[in-house]
Amino acid sequence: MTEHSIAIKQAKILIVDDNEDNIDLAEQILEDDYDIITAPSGVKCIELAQSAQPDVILLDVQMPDMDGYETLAKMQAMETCKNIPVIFLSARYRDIDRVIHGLELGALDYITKPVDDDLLMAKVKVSVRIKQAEDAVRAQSAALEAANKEMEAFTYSVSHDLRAPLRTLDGFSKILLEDYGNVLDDTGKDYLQRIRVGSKKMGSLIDDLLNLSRTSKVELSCEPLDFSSLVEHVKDELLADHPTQTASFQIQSDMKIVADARLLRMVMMNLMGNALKYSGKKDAAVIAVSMEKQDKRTVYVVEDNGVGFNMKYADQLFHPFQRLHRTDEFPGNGIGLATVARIVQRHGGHVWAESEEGKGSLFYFTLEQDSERTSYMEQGSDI
Amino acid sequence: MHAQVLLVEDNLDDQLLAKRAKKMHSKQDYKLHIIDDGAQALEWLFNPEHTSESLPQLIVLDLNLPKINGLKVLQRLREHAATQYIPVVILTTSDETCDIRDSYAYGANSFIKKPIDFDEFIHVWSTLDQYWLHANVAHVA
Repeated sequence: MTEHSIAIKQAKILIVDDNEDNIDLAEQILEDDYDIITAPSGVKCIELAQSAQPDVILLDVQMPDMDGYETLAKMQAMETCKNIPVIFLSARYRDIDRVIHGLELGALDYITKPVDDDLLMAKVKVSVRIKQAEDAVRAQSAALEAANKEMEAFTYSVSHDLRAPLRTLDGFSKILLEDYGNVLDDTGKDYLQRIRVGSKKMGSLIDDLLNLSRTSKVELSCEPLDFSSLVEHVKDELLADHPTQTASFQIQSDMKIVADARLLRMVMMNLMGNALKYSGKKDAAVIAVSMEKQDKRTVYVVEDNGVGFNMKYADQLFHPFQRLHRTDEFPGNGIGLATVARIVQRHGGHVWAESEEGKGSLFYFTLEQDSERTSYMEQGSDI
Repeated sequence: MHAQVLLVEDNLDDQLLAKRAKKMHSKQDYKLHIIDDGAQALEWLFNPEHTSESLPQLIVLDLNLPKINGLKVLQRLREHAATQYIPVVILTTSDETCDIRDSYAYGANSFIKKPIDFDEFIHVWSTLDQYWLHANVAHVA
């Protein structure tokens, strides 16, 4: 016996009919392949459906007291029965309106008698398969929902609890420096300073990771935006944060885009922030933001003339924690571009990059879908 | 009579840092009263022997508190005649949207994410002091 037939054998069929001969007939056809239970009435059918949880119910339409339609309607309203597929069987009600009515009530099938043995077997088999497939999907959805809830609880606790000890590190290092600075030599003070820098770095790492995880969950609210002015604002903010930077910006005017404003701002903060960071050591750093058409798509470009990178590492760029430079050369934690990729993907678009070491980099993104292009560069891991 | 600020905070390190921050910035001379958990805070605030002078002019409230959490404390304060108008600033490590939204929904006057950087932490305390005890003093009195 194959595994498949074992699975079928274990399926349980409930046959409901007020006529004992009809039950015997159906039972004979199905008993070799299924566990059979039977009920003589609608009331008994509902009881058994609840307690025995059959995989399929063969339900006679015409029964005294409660007919098949009423029985089905009652089961559909019950949490414990509503997912059990029902096949109506009827000798008397053969007209098309009756059949349609039965299907509209939620029956999976409607068989009129006399019924061919093989046809009944085949229909029951299909129904069992549907039930098992649906059960599997329901179990998966429940598992996914549980995993999501757990993930939410996890990020919440990260947000709350992981940051608190860092404040302790930073705060008491500073207090040590102030209160006991006179008994520490320069090396001792340097060590304390390193503790402070480390705790702040850890803090921003936690913030960035939380942002990355939120970009996956947050609901998009897309609207038409004045992209040029958004870019100008980001530029002002970056220059305010880095007052010693002398880079010049060239921002194309009248650029439009449809996107989630908050998330797009995050994209541009990252891309333009990177451009500034990696060109900051140049004497005449130039950062350009523009828009162009490529294969009918609108592509947005952030270009700099900074240090660039070797294209052989391009596939690492958009993965979390992947960095191409030492942190003492260019500070960072490797979350920024992963966040960019995640946001662009959420909009249905792509991001990719071109660069040459020593010459500068070009970062492109489009928010439009293009099934022909699949970029290997943008597969961030799941955080 | 000195102004009084109640800090409800269970993290002992944060309590010490708050005291230190107060000492480092304070232009306004106020008394910082610290309580460790939500239940004790409510018990202290709802003590019938309080007069309007002995109640704090500002409550700084953490959210994750033992026994009764910060949101619940806030809700109870807003239901109680003696405490419903005392300004409450939520000072917590979380900046989750749900915490911010719920805090304001329950009647917080401000929500501040506790910074990791101690210099910023000092700055937060100095701002609290200036805004709620100085700039805003007419409304409190």
